[in-house]
Amino acid sequence: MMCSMVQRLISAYIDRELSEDDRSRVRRHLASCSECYAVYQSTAAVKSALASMTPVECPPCLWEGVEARISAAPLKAAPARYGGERFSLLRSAASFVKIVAPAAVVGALIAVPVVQLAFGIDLIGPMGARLAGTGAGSNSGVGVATVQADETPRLTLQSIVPAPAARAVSLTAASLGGGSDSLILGAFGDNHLVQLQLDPEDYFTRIGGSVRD
Amino acid sequence: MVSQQTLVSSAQALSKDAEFESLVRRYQNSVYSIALRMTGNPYEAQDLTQEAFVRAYRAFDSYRRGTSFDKWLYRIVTNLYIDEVRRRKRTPYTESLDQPIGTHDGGTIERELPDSSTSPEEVFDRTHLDGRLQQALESLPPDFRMAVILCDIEGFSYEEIAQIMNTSIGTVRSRIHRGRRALRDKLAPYLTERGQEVIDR
Repeated sequence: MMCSMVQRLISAYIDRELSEDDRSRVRRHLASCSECYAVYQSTAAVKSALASMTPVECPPCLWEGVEARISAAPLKAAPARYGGERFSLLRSAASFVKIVAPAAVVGALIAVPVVQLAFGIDLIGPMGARLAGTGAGSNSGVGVATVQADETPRLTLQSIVPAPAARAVSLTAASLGGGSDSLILGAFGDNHLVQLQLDPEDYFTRIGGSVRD
Repeated sequence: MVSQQTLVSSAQALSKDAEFESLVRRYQNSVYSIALRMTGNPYEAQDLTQEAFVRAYRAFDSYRRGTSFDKWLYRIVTNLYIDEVRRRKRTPYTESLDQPIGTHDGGTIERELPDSSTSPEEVFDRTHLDGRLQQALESLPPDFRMAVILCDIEGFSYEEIAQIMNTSIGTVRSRIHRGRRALRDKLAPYLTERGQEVIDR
């Protein structure tokens, strides 16, 4: 067997992926050829070093991230990219933004189909979203809002329905389709603290709210 | 009144979710490990892992029970990563790091760049073979890198790798051969002792 042929087979020889015939040919050649034996040694060293790389464990929060996304139904039509610029920018800030609905402006407008509650969403950098609320809303409710994907996203509450006085909510985003992502805002109003979680795809997947008293 | 069909569907959905969660928990370390070795970056590895599981969840109905879940999963990871690499190639980021930044008044500002030859990470890597290995892995074309990772780190056979990478055994053999050859060239000075260990076994 020629050296060049043997050297092409060395990796498969080390991996025990050769036929018995080829295996014995390579073995015989290695016993008599120092050059090929050196290639064998260094190739085996590569395999050994890779096999002994320190094992890694995934971050403990990995499943939570998966769960948050798979429970955000219905699924977003366009497949998400896992990579890209938005990602790395998103990482630069905390993953939670807090919205504090101003108590002073909360009125008693329960069951009004379109409520005068508009939040301007102010992106501080690419990640930190600050929701400055103006307007009025019910003491407790669930609303659907739409985030338009333009340069300065506006979050406008489109409807609000009365809901049982929630002391803590955890809701997931749904997609309205048509290129905009929607949110369900929960339990905002007097003394409520609502948290928005931005997910890596730049839209909101989970909003957890709690009462601040 | 809730129909029986609805109850059955709900129960099925619940058991599907529970089954999926247990599979994620079982394989998350190995998927993350492959992702980390492929990307070399913990954040990107986490994104890739999560995205792979989300894709797997969406396609979970098409996954045939009784077949190997891990191979199916690694195939998703492989495809996702290779697609992403291709996508980045199409839209390369071309700004030069040592190019001065233009200012409003037409002037320029020099960027302050760390000296990579003396950065703490570099010093650290020089003394740690894992860092060297990771760097060398990242220098391989993605197809070679994945084949080598699946073979040497995850311990799959050529046939299994061919299934995961949706290619022939001959192609796997060639990718591993060429991948290891490139790694050998880069790592030769650091590997003599480890190689001897293998041979002595």
